[in-house]
Amino acid sequence: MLGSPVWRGSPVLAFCAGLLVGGVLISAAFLVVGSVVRAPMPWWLRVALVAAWLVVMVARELGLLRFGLPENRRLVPETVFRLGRHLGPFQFGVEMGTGVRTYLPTGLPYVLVAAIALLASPVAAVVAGAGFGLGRCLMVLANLGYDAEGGWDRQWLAHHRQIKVLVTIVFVVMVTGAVLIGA
Amino acid sequence: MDATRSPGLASLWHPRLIASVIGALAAGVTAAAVLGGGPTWTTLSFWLLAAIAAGYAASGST
Repeated sequence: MLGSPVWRGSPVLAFCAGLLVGGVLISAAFLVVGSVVRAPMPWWLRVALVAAWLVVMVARELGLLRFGLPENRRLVPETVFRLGRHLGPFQFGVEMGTGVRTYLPTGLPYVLVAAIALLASPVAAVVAGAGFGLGRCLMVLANLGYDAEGGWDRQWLAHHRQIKVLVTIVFVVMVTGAVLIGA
Repeated sequence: MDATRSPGLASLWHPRLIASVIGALAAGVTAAAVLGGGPTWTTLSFWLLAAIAAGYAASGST
């Protein structure tokens, strides 16, 4: 997909802008839903639910548990580029940034949305949404910057286990810190 | 973004290096929090880095 001529120059920036917008949109949506769900729940119960979900998902990430999660098991079609050189990638980015448009090869976003819904302030939700888009944008920029022959994908697969463990540790520490300091 | 990119610069985009940079930033934010950084900024930094980690992991390879 990234070998397409559309992935040159400013369309990449439009795509990344879309990723950030999509991340913020989905985060805001979960915050709104969460504001209703969290209303009757004490803080400690919300923390306990997120913590329990975090433990389950970390076990899944490490391969200790195996179960499916809801995801859109479809590749994004090339027709998303019908809107033009910039608007097409932007729309594509928004859809990818929401995390609900295509495959999700990790369970970490499922914990993130639970934490946003049950524990985040509005500002924190916006920051987290933008961060999710930024994380996805990193992959695109890195892939394009690495080489034009799919080398980045091969490196990702070769080091996937190490990367997954490191990113999971970062995620656990950061979510825990956000909850504890924000309390 | 072209096929003539420098191998040296390209190595800066290695997926493991990016994950390490995210980890280093997380360590820095954690240290700042332990040393008594402003609660608002440290909290938002924690949220930001947690989300970046989730987004990066969610991207995987194409």
